[in-house]
Amino acid sequence: MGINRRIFILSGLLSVSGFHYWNTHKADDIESFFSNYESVIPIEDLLNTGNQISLFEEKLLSMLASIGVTKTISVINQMIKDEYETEKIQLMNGWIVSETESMLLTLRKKYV
Amino acid sequence: MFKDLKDISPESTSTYDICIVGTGPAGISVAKQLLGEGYSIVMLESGGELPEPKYQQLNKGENSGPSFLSLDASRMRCFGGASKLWAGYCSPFKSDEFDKKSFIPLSGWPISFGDLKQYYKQAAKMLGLSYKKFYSKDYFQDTFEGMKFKKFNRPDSLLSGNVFQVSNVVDRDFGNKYKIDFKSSINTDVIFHSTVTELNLSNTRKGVHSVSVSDLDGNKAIIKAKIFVLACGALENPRILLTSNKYHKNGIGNDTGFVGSCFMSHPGVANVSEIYKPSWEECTDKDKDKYNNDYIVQFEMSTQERKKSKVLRHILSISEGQGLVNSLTCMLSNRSSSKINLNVALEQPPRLSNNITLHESKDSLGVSKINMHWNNISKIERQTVVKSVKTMARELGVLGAERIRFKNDLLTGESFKINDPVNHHIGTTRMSDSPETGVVDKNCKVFGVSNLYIAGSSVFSTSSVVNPTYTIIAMSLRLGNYLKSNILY
Repeated sequence: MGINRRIFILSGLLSVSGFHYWNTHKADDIESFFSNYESVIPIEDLLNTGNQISLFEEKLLSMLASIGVTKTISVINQMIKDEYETEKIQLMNGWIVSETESMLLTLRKKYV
Repeated sequence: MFKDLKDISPESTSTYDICIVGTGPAGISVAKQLLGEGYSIVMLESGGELPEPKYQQLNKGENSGPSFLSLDASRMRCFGGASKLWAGYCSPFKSDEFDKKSFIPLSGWPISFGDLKQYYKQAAKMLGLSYKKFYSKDYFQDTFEGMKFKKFNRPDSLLSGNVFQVSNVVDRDFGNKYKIDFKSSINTDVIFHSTVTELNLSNTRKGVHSVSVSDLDGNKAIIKAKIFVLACGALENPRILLTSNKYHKNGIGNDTGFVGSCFMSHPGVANVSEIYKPSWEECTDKDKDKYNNDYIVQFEMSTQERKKSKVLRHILSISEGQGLVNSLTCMLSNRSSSKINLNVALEQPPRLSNNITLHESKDSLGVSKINMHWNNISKIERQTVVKSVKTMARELGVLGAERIRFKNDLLTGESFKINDPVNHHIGTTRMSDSPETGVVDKNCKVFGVSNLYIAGSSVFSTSSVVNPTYTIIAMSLRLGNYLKSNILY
């Protein structure tokens, strides 16, 4: 087996394990976030909203990676309060929620 | 002096300085300004000194829909009138309510809050209330601190609080409270069982010469006066004007068709939403004492938010308990559920299509009964409900973890199909700058009639959302003072 072939196989293995590692940690981070994030809105009340949450999910993961769960919750809560103040609200299965809160609730339904 | 129609000569030729038709809060308040001033006054009461069922029957009328409002409730034919019925909740109008608003047709009064302020103060004294406390920061402070809800009082709050003081039963029953004043007044006659069946115009048709009165036993009389004031409520005032159609087929003061039109009440839409709260604080004894106070604080959108959103005045309340703040904090701390129902009470805008007309059927005195055509909810009322609940949700969102969910009945519109249980009658002889848009001028004088005035909620140009009696009294005191200072002197 030539050296190039060995490098190719090794890099493939690293990619697979990296992807597996990333996915595991991503789930851990988000689950940790939601176990600390309080909301009175019951998860069973949420219908599939059709929210496009992939971008929001990426941003949340990035925040969790850079500032941790506690600070992320604090930042997210402030964003939600600001949205209520500035009327960035919407109806979600009858619930009056802020735009960020709506994304968050959709994501919670996916993970919790 | 107290008299009865059966003791009055049908041929009486005496002429009083002023004749006040009705002895409820409006009539008594007008008369209170004139008592002891040397004027000869006659007050005509359809019922007796105390309520009598057979005279109550004269209140009966018809509803032609689409909504239904009881025509018997909230009305009392006896000395003191509806003051014997009301719950005593008082709150002044807000100053912006007198302004014209582009999004409410026919809005705007020809007077300002400033024109009424001194009479609100006088009315507060009569009702045993403190005018200052309507605006006292202490009241709000007590509420917020006592209820552990200080944050609700933030400077930029999207909501504002309104203080409602409660007049006690002794002060609010004008019939009992002022009976002696009128009974002992030498130049004041209160004539019981004298239902006005017609206003009789003078030969020139420019003024009222006399009123025809009858009782249910067949006694009749003609009462003459220089000045007449109708103070019989927003259902009877237009009825008397409309039924006095001997010379003007549409009735007196009705050249432009506004008599009876623009009827307003205070629709209530119950259980529109639920407030979800994560936890309930423990209630201390000190907190509990707050609920026994003679006032409550009710909430609505702040004036700025209300104008920005182009909605009507409203009150946000919950089904259980007195005030929203009370209920959002410790009052319901022992409840197992984490949610409470939110209701909205509404101002109603003046609309020509909501009106009182004469029905073809007649009462025992041969006077046409009234027909009410009332639609309690239109687009702007619906918008007000939705917007006010959303604003409440926004404020709770800014403050913390409470959230609001619209009920299905609101989302489907079912909530709006329930009829209003609040019998407030407003606006059927409305005040305006011009006869083109109203029945009385800024001094409550009927347009085109030199000596006929109207007191009571029928002259309100717009309805507000607060209980009307406090403003009825203030407006009537203003009218009494005007007559004393400008007409009778």
